[in-house]
Order: sequence, then structure tokens, then C-alpha cells
Amino acid sequence: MNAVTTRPQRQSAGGLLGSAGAPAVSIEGLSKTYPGRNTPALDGVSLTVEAGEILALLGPNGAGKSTLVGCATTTVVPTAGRVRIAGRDVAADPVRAKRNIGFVPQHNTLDRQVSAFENLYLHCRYFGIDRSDARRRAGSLLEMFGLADRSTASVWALSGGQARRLQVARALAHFPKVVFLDEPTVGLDPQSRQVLWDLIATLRDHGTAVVVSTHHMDEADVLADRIAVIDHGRIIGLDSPTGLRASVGAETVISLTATGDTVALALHLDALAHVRAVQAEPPGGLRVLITGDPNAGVAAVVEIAVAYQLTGVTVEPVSLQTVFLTLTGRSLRD
Amino acid sequence: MTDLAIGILPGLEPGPSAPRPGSAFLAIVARDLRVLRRTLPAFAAQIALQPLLLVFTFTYVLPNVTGGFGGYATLLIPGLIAGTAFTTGISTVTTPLVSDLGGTREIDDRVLAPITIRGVALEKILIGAVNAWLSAALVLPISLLVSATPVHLHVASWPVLIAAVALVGLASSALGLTIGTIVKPQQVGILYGVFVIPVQFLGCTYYPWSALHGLRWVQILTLANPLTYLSEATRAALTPQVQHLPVGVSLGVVAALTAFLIAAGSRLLRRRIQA
Repeated sequence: MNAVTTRPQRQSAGGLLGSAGAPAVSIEGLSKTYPGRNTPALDGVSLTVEAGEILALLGPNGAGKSTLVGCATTTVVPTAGRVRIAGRDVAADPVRAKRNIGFVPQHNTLDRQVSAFENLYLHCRYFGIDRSDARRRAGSLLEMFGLADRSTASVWALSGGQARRLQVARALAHFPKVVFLDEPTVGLDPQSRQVLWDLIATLRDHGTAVVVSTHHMDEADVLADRIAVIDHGRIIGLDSPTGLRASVGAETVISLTATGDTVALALHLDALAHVRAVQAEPPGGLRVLITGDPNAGVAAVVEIAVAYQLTGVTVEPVSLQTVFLTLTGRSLRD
Repeated sequence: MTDLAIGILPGLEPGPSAPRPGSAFLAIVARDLRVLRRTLPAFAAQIALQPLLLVFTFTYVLPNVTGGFGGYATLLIPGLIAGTAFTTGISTVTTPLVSDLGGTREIDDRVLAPITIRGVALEKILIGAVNAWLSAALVLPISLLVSATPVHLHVASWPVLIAAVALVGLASSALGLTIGTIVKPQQVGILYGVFVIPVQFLGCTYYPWSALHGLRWVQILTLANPLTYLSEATRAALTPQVQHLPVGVSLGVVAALTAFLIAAGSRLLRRRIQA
């Protein structure tokens, strides 16, 4: 069963996470220009994430996702604006803010000189948890993450999936209110990826705010309650996956290729009642967004396209890829 | 499929919302001591071998080969203690820090702990100093045991000895921190060849500063080396009969330099960690 698609009753998390009404993450007018660069990596981003919510930061490499996560986790100093974690200003009071932050970086930053168990135990100790509680947490986290038999293993001996799970376990060991995961499933096999997705959903269901940065559309689509589409350091779309798809104003995408005059074809198609938009899809292709009855729409489009030496047609429902393309004019894969 | 027993997640509770001040610092110290304890035999072998060979060469081999070097052990040993501790302090901080900042980023877990980056920097300096102190404590008995010729050491002043050894540790590890934030991983090998070794040889480790009076330019050159002052201070404490720089000057120069390096190293570390 896929736990991601079934969302169990959320716990009323108020007592446990009691942050007196402050959102888990609150970002206001955040900008960052790295020294020696002309263009900002982040340009006036504002955003809130509530307890028990998964927010995906979706954008191509270099869009500003990692900078945003860096600002929120104290490793990047913003040029302007501020980030508050459970009401604590990250720049003004980093030590207190960090108590509520869990961070799973993209690369393996586990402590290679100690065992899997000790990675968790020592992390707990850094957060002021007493020895016996730290041991108990480390033990139950290893159990929880299917790593109990790897307790004494060196970090070197862990597989990629095990190391990633241990990193997630470590980020949770002090029970933060917010967990940031930077490209969490890059390099994971499909099975480990599913395990991680299920885990992220479980965290959310227990009232943790989760921020996942990704450039995988399916990941954002499956996981997120809301998606912030980021490009050139700005949020250009922020809604639920369903809301974002609806914002396109069409339900079906027809991708077609033709050897005839595609500019004339585009103009011709644009006049059809079913057609909401026609986008060029280089080289020599068109993407036609249609609304209403897909069968009738496809038939009408194909009938016209045949006259322009149609060579290929694919029909798909509107996806986040379409959303991204509509918002930016570029493919996320570019 | 891995069986995630995620149902027990609620069993986790938030950590203390207001832990004792300094608890993160102490926990990181405890982590480093744990690792140090585990690597102690290798550490001891690594630290002891070079001084052992030096003492063996200068007090046993060379006197036999040349007939000279009779009283050299007495001149050599205080400098050897300072020199070994100094290079230990540098290398125990620099080597891991360079690979950490240059790639593995293992430091991130400590950076994201509830502690300031200055706190992380001070912890690194403290642990580097502990390593340096351990090596000083190791070199003294080894030298005395191995030396084939008599060594005339006596502690003339415990406060001076303690101050000198304390400063060897802190100065070298603060220097190690500063270097570690500047050097790139591919430069570490060169660092030892072109920096650490010259510092060691031109730091009045193998000869007292006063004995250089015939080589004025070498005497002046060595004054630019912090190890000179540390070797001379150690000499003042252990072999007061050997002429040495005034203790106040030696300790004062190194104390000022140490304070500067601690501030510079902490600042540079913050700059490396926070983009």
C-alpha cells in the first residue's frame, strides 16, 4: 500500500509543537546575491509553511532552491529579508532557531569516524538530550528506519539508501518542528525512494512541517500539499498540485510534430474553440493545450494537423511539466 | 521492502527547549574525545616515532659516528617537545578541517547544532590543543628513555612550563584552524612540505636561539617564527642553564599571536561555512 496516497487522520499537533500560533516557517522578502555575482540567487521570496504541511520547492538546477534552504538553515546569510522558524528569527537568534530545524542535505554528511548508532546518539547529545534518552532515541530511530542490524556499522559500510535513511533519522532525532530535505531521492533506487516518500508523509501526518526541494516533478506531485515553483530566484507559482494544474486552464496536452509550416499550423489551431494555448516545442513540434471533451478536441486538432504533414501525436493530461512550461516558457529538463 | 516501523514516531519527543548553556559545546568535545580515545594507539605511534628517531640519531648514532654531540640531548629535548606538540596541534586541526570544508561537510551536523560557529571554532581549537598537550606529554618520557647521553633537565619554573605547554597547544591549533579554512584539499600535501617543515626546522627546535649569534640573519629570521618563542619558553622552563630568550618576551609574543589567531580562525571559519 502506498502510504503517500492515503492520508491518515492528522494528530492534533498543537500541544506537542506548541509554537503559539507562529507558522513553522515564515519567510519574508528573502533575497540573496552572492559576492561577485550580478544576478540574485534569490529575489524577494515570501512564503509560509504550516505545521503538518509538505511544501515542495520545484525548479531547475540553479533556480535558487538550495539558497532558500540554506538561508532557512543558517548556512547562507541573506542579503535582505528574514526567515523565522517557529517564530524565531534565524539570523538574529540562530542557536534557538536551530533547535527546531532538521536538515537532510543532498550529500552524505554523516560522521564517518563513528558508527551508525553513534551518529544518532551524538546528534541527540549536541541538542542537549541526556545520555539515557539519547541512547533510547538512537535505538528506536535505527529500529524505525530499518537500520537496527546496522547499529555498529561504520558509515562507510552503509549502502546509499541506508545512508540516506540514517541522515533522515539524524535530522529527526531532536524532534524538530521543521525538516528540510534537499533533493532527498537523488541517487536512490525506486524502492528506497518509495520508503523515503512514505516516511515524509508520515512526518507530515504527525504535525511536522516538511520542506522538500526537488527538480523531479513526480516527486513534488506525489508528496506535496503545496508546490512553490521557483525560477531565477523567484516564486512564480504557489499552489497545491491540483491548483497549479488547474491554473493552466486546460486539461489535456497534445504534443505533435509535423514537417509542414508549424507557424501557420499554430495560428490555425489557435482559432479552434477547444484550444486554450499553442506552445512551440522545439525542434519542429507544438504543444496544444485543450479544454473540454478530450476526444473531440484531439479529433479537431489532428484533422487540421494532417494537412501540415503530421508525423507524430501524443496525448497526455496536463502535468506539472505543462505548468512549468506555461509559467516559464521553458521545460524543467532544459 | 524495508519495514519502517514508523508507527512509533510519536514516541519521540522534542529535546529540552532550554538545555544548559554550553551543553552543545561539551557534547562536541565529548564526541572528539571519543574519537581520540579510539585512535589513541595510532596517534601515539604517529606522534612518538619522529622524536624517537631524532633522539636516537642525535644522542646515539651521531656521537658514535663523529665523536661529537656530547651535550646535545639537553639542548635538543625542550625544543623537540615544543616542535612536536606544535606540529601535532596544526595537523590535528588542519587535516580534517580541509577535507571537511572541501568536500565531506561532516562539520554540517555540528554547524546545525544549537551552537554558534564561533563555538564550533573554539571547540576545534580546544581539541587540537588537547592533542598537542598529549604529544608533549608523550615526547618528554620517550626522549629521556631513548637518549643514550645524559640529559640535564629540571623544571625551573612550573608556571612557565605550564604556560609554555598551554600556549604551544592553543597557538598551534588556532594556527591550524586558520590554515584549515584557507587551504584547499589538493594543497594539504604541499602545506606540510613548504610550511610545516620549515616552521619546525627554523623554530629553534634543534638549537637554542642564543647559539645562533654567529648566524645573525638566521637569528633574525627565526624571530618571525612563533615556534621559536615556544621552544625558548620551554627551554627556560626545563633547561634554565641554557641561555634563552626572556620568558616574558617569549610568552607575551605567543599569547598575543594566539589571541589574534583564535579571532582570525573563528572569523574565517564562519566565512567558509556561511555563504
